[in-house]
Amino acid sequence: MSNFLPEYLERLKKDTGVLPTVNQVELHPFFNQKEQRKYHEEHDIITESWSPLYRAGDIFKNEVLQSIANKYKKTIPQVILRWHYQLGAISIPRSSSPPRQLENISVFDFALDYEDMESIDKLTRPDGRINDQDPAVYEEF
Amino acid sequence: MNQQIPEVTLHDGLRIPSIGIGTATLRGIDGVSAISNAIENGYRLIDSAYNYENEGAVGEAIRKTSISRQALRITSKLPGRYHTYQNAVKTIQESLYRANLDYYDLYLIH
Repeated sequence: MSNFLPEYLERLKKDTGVLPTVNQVELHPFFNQKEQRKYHEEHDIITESWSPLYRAGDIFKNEVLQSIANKYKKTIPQVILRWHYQLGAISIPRSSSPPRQLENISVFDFALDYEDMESIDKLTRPDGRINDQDPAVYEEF
Repeated sequence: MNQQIPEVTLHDGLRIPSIGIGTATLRGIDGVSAISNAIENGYRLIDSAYNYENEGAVGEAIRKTSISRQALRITSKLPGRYHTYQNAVKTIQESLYRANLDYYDLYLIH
């Protein structure tokens, strides 16, 4: 599934008796999908994050992320992708550059501590979606 | 250089990597090159969609690398306009023809 809100998943379960193995949703530090992830966890659904790096926009200039990156001698994209990993979410960053492709998967040799995870968690905001694509009103047609 | 990416087990038993390569806008020969580079760099999960119009590039990239199809996890997605049963079946068949693949590991309702 992609972009299925908990109420759609509930309807699916009621009508068919099955739930998907994965649900791919918009997820990045500015929109952390706490409630959606909680529902997934309770129903054994793996969260997949689309636009995990916020399409490389302003997020790469974020001071909180930069200070965490400095602490671990990593880049901001690496800190963000490690955050997804520690949330238990599968991320699918897009890159056509081989060095950046490698950078994006070189995140398994360090771990963010609890305070770092909390600091990143606090970057989320209600209007944090990239293009205001709320699945309640937006359809991928 | 080749990185090992940890895997996650889905509730149906399928194991998929924790990080995959996103492919929206990666099309044509440049797309093939970007996606095959990703596979050579260690990526095993490839995220595509019917609406990205690049299932052909995904299939070609897979054929260009030395990694076996079984070692890869390929995703595509069913567009909103084809959600009825008959349309869904035809669209999945079309997705397979476009990629010249026998199966997708994940096919999401977009």
